[in-house]
Amino acid sequence: MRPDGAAARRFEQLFDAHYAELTRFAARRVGADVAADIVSSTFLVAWRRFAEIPADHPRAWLYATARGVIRNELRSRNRRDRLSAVAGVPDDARVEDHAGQVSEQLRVRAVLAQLSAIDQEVLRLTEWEGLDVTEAAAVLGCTRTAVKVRLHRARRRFAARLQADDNPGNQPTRRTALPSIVSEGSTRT
Amino acid sequence: MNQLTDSALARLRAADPAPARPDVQSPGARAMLDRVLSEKAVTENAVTEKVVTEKLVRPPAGFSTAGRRVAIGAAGAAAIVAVSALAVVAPWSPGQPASAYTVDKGPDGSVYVTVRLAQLKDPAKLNAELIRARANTLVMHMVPERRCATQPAIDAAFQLPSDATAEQRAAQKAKLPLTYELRGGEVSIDIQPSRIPSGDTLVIGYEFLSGPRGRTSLVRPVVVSAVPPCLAGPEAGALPTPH
Repeated sequence: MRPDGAAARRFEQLFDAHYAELTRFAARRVGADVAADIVSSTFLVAWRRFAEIPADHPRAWLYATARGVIRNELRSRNRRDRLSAVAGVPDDARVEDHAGQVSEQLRVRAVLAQLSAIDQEVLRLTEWEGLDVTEAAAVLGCTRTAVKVRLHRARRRFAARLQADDNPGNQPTRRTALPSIVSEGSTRT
Repeated sequence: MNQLTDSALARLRAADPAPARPDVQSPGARAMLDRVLSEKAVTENAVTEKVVTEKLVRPPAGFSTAGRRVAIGAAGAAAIVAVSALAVVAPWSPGQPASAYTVDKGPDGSVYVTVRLAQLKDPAKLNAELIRARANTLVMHMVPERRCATQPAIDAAFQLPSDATAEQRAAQKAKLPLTYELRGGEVSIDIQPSRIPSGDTLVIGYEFLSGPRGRTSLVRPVVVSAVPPCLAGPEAGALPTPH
């Protein structure tokens, strides 16, 4: 039975506004085949806790919830020792099996995959999901300042890695080539 | 940002692996919306719903949880209905370490769950998986009766008189939308969501006690019309007889 009422109508508006981007968000992380389950579970949590969703940042709330659902999904997969390919192997690795078909996009994604998890996450949220700093901070559970710092570092590292990948014979200096292996918040000179 | 970074980020955006923008008006999307709204409709009369879902998925960091306090306060006013207790108790001995639970869905919609009770410190993740499996079931850690004044709103079809005979208990157990078996500290549960009446929720209480006979695992399934804020189990010194 589908309920009527103002809350249901407002939830439907929320669903309509964010279904597509949430599906793309999930598909990037767990593959298109599982994305629908993630989105469904996320909206189920959202409906059950509808009153708690902040009116000013519903998208960030949904993304943060979806991240939690995805974490559970990946843990569940690992525990059951099945479907681990999607969880543990990036799309790039699957496509690289087809020698000679590595396109520019796959190469760029491979470079992204070389970065630390936090670098990848902040870049995905801002460049692919289109979140602003405030939304990304809400999703990541940190301050706007922290996101700004992380984003600045991540962009610099990604550009350096990509440049190194473009010019394999012209390796950049150690300082620009390896910063992504330094844990977030520390410095290397 | 310099030109090198700008160029790199432009290439990154172009390498977005996301599929084409899904159509929110597609039949699949509308069916998903209907399912979500319907699942809420099943339990939306339960004042305590928020209290339980709070345990299922933690609130995203940085967002207010003011609603939680309100919900918990309201939970005290939950309806009190006659009690039915179906307890299964078995002596427990420490077993080998393994994952605390597994959840698998059968082709007929059944949901198979195994739980190592001693290792189940927080059922929130298990409950999230049960939601995903559409089991319409919640697992709750039971608390001593003195700490849980609220009686669960057990569906009248699943209530038992306090002086129920063994035959009545057996008949009642056969009506439950689950079968379960305790082996040591592990319980195997076969949930049949299709047998849970519309509007009801299967709540499985569990406890792990130390008593005169050693450590004991206890399971108490109840079919409720409103999810209770807590579920009472026996005191350690008043354990029911194993069966």
